[in-house]
Amino acid sequence: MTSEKRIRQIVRQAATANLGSANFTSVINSTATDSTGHEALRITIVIKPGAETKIKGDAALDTVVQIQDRLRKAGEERFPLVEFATTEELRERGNT
Amino acid sequence: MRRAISAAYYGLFHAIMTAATDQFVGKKNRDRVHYGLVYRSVDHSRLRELCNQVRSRSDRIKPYAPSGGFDPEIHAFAAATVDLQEKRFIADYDVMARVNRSTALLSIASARAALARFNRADEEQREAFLSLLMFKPR
Repeated sequence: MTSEKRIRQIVRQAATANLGSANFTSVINSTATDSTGHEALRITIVIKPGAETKIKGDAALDTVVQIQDRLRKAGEERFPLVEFATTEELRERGNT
Repeated sequence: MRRAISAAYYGLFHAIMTAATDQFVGKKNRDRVHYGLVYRSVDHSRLRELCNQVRSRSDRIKPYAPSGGFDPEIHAFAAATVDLQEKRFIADYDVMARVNRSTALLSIASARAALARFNRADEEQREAFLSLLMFKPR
């Protein structure tokens, strides 16, 4: 199992490289269960307000691909469930 | 939001099943009953299994993969498919999950990009993926 710190580092690198620092804010990790009943990683990529309409499909796709690949290479067996949320959306659901 | 995420996955699923069935039954036979039979022969778990094999560069599919393996376009498609299938499952069945607009918008954009990548891959790459989808190696 990969350390929390290493997971954040991998996600942060992928998000910064693909989404750009103008759109990306931070990462929130937690555990979850995937559709097959296995333990999974819930990764919330926090983006700036309005970034959800600026980020291109290729950038979102490459972020997901790189997170999956790099976590697997780091020995992480849990599947990363990647979601995106603006700071406003997080506030609405009480995550901040 | 839930319907949007679900539709993003299903758009990908139906596009790949159409490509696979066109390849093996023929586009000109779309109105034949056999087209529907072949189209319906692959389920979501089979697609997921193949995508996971592509993602992990599994030895199980190596003999049937293109020489040099699947290229980054097919890898990206496989990664997106598993990701969207998980999101679809949450959107459709997890009543406790909070589904937000950003995830919905970026899921749709990501699904479109994944399909464009698949269609950009070489014919040999696409044919190998679709063959493995329809005919599971024993």
